[in-house]
Amino acid sequence: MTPAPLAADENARLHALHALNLLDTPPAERFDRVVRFAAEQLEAPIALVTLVDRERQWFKSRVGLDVAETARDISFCGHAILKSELFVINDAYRDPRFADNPLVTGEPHVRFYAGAPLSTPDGHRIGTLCVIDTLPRRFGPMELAILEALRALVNDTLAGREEEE
Amino acid sequence: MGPPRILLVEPQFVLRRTLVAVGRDLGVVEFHEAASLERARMLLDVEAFHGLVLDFQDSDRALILLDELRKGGFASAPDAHVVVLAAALRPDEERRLQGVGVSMVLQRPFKIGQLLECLASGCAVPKALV
Repeated sequence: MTPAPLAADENARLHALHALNLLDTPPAERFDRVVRFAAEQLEAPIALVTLVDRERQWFKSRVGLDVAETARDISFCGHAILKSELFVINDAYRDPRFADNPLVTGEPHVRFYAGAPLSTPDGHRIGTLCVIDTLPRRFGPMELAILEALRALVNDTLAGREEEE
Repeated sequence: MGPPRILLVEPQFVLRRTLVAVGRDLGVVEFHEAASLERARMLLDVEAFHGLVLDFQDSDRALILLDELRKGGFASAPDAHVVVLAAALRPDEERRLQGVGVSMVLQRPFKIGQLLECLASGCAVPKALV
């Protein structure tokens, strides 16, 4: 397993994350509605908005997962936030970075992961909108475009640019 | 020729914004969006669209708007394609939708791909409810 590396801008990134005042806050519909929609449209049993803290990833919104956080070093999202592009693992069993990851070999038995890094307005990647499946999958252009579109909505929410229904 | 210009009348923010973005990213549909029938009417008065995707929650007012469209009351062609998004339809609503020549009814919840494929192909199921 390759532990999730630290980001190049780690200190500034953590500062931006903590300034959002979202960690350890109660569920919020403005995030939950996007996560529910992602799970439904992408037919994924698990969908999350994660925030990658210094030593943990904490779930601001979650569908299909009972735990509120996991260690950062075993997180897929810790890898995803290293770049701004979507981070997709079609089959974690066949990826040497993740094959013996405890999230793959044990609960929740991650096989497929697609994460869209979330950014603060000043460009720090502080977490992801991600979907997870327990079966290997491959996303086509439609699924990738949906994830990109939903990422933009969550980024707008993080920036306080959300629109009311 | 570019992608079809479609007026999307959909109150649900996440669905509406995602449809607009995905249609644009994939280059298959150019959505113009309205969160309400009132806003849709304003856009229909001044702009022509190849088609209309219409939330059917307020069925009576939606049908009035469709009647006006078919009578040439807006800037779009009277025979513009119409896709209706509905949770469930009563038999009388089905009859009225058939009467105004709706191309397709998509039952909620639906997959975004279903709608985009229909629109990109010119709603190849004309004049029939499916």
